[in-house]
Amino acid sequence: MKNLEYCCFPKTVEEAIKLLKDKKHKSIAVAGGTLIAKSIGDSIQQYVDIRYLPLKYIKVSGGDLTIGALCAFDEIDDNPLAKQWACGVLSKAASKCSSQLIRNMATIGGNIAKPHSFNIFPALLCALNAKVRIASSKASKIYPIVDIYDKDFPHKLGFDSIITEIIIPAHIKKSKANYEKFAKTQACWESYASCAFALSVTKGKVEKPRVIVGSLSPKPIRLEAAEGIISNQKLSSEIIEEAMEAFIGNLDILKLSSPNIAFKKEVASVMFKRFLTDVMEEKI
Amino acid sequence: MKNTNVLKSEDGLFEISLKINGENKKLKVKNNEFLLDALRRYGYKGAKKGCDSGDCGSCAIMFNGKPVLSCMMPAVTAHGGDIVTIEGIGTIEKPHPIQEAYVEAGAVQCGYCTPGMVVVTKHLLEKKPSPTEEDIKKELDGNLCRCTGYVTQIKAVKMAAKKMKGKKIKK
Repeated sequence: MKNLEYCCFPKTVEEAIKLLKDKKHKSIAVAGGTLIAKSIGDSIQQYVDIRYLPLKYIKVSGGDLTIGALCAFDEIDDNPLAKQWACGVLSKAASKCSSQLIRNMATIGGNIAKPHSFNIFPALLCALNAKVRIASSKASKIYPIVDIYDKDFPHKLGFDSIITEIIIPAHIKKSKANYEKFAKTQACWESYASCAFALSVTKGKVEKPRVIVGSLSPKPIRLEAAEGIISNQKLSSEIIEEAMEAFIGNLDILKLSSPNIAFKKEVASVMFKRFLTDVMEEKI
Repeated sequence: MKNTNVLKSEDGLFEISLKINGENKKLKVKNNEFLLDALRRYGYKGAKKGCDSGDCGSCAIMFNGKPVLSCMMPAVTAHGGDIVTIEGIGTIEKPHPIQEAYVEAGAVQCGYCTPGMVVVTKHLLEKKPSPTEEDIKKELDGNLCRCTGYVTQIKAVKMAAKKMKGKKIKK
C-alpha cells in the first residue's frame, strides 16, 4: 500500500461505485479486511472503505430473508432471524468461522466476494440456494450465488460492482440444513473438509436436496449425483449408503488435487452420512 | 460526492482524526502502516505485536464498540473511529476490576497476551454480565496464551463478572 494516495469513506452505495469506477486511480473496496488487508498490493492508489455503507441488516423482505453484505459474522451468529431459518444453520456456520476477533470484523459480503476454499458462506449459501444482489454503475441485479463463482463473472460484471445483499428464498425457512467443518481446532480458519446440506421432507420423502462440499477447491462443489439418489426418496440405511457411494464417486470424477484428498473425501462423506442419518431419525 | 469523506496523503502520510480512550486525537499515519504500529508509535504500547497476522489476539483493541485486531486494520481506516486501548480501561494506580481479577486468578504470567484478553473480556461482560463457561471460551478463542493453558483466564473472567456485579469474591 505504499503508493496509497486516497482513502475514501463513502456513505452510500452509489458513491462507492462512483469511486470504484474512477479510472484515474487504481481502487480497492474493503469492508472487514480480514482476507485482504495484509495482501493489498503497492499498485493500489485509492482505498474505498465501505464499512459505513447502510448494508448492515438482517430482515425478512417479501418472505425472503435478506442479509446486508456488511453484516459481520458475529452479528449473524447472534441474530434471532438467522437462528430461526433452516435449523439456524446461518448462525451455526457464522460461529464456526475462525476466532471471535475475526468474527467481529469479517463480513458475509467479503466472505463470498473473495473466493477461498476455507470460506464458510460460499458453500452454505449454495446449499441454501441463495441469491446475491450486486449493484454496479449500470444497474442493481440479482444473481444466483453459483453464478458469481463462474470464472468469467467478474469480467462480465465489471470491477465497479459491490455485493449489497444476500437473499435466502422463503421456501428455505423450514428446510433441514446443516453446516459442518472438520479442522485442527474450532478456531482454525483452515479446514480439512467442510460441507453444507439442505433439504426439505414432505410426507416422509426428501425434496430439493442440495449437497455442497467446501474446502477442497476455491469454489464450492455441488454433488448432484448424491442429490439424485436421495431426491424423492424416503431415507433408509440402504439409501444413505447408496448416497454416500454416489457422494464419493461424484468427488472422484472431479479429480481434485488437494493434498490428502482421499482422507478429506472420507471425512466429507461421513459428514454427509451423519446429516442424512439425523434427518432420518428426525434429530433435525 | 457530498457524503464521502476523502483523505489525501501528503508525502506518504495521512492525517487522521479519531477518539482514543475518550480523547479527540489527530495522528499522522503512514500510508502502508497498520493501526497497531501507529498506536504503538504514539505511545499506546499496551496492544502487543504477536503474530502480526490476525491469529494471536494480543493486538486487540476496541474499535467502535467491538474488539478488533489492530494488526489487521490499515491505520488510515481508523479515521473517525472511537478506539479504546488497554490504557483506557485501567492503570497501574487504578486497575479495572477485570485487571484485578486477572492478577488474583493468576491468569498473568509473561503478560504479553493479557491486554488483548482484558479488552475482549470487557466486551464480553458488557454484553453478557453472567457468561457461561462456553461463552467465555467462545469469546476468548482468538486470544492465544503460551504460558497458562487458559484455565486461569476462564477463572479470571468469572471472578471479574462477580466483581463487576459488586459481589464478594472467593479466592
